[in-house]
Amino acid sequence: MTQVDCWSPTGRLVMANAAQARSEVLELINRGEGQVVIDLGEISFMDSSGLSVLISALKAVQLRQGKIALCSLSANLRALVELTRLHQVFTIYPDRATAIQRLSA
Amino acid sequence: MTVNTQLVICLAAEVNAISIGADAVRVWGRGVGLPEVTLSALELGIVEALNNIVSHAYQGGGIQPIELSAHRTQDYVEVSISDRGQRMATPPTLSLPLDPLQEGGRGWFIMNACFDDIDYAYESGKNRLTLRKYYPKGD
Repeated sequence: MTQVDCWSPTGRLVMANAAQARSEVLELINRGEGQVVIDLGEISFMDSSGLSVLISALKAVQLRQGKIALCSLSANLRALVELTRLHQVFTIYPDRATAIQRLSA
Repeated sequence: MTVNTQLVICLAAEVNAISIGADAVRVWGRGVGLPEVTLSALELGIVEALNNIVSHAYQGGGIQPIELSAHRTQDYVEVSISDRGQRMATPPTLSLPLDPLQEGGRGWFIMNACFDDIDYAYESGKNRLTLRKYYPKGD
């Protein structure tokens, strides 16, 4: 079974902390096997800078020919992802357990 | 009971102040009885506007002021944001990047989606952005 890494940022994912968040998730991706779940269940608010962090992670995983998924999006976050059409490039699952199960299969 | 008062604040143009400004608008909006769906759009749109000012108008140079005011009417809420940073040289791109994996370039698109009317003016050395959001029908 493939190892799946989880990144679970909390609070606001915005311009003020985007650089730190990007560094965290890229480090996780580079350490692991390239199968990554980003659990957004504890994110209270995200702006376009936060979206750019998700895209950085997606590109890093693609370079490693891995897989990435988002899970546990609030209604507002889901609306933002759909507004910016990023649901067309990310696989999204309702919860972390489902996401891990699908990526590890 | 709601209090129909105007919000007027002055923020430092730095990244950590952006959430403070957005929070202030949210608290004010709740106090004046704005619908939750309007508050969410206001918060996101204002954060994107402030992001642009901090990173483009002032380009991160020193602590400069941003003036933000908000008021509500029977039909809409209007937010005005002013700064003394660089004038916007070209009209902003209101569409999404052609490349879905481009990391930036979504701020104005998101802001435009959050408001019904956006007006930009440059007068007397000041950028002024006026953002208007009508309430959803039935509220």
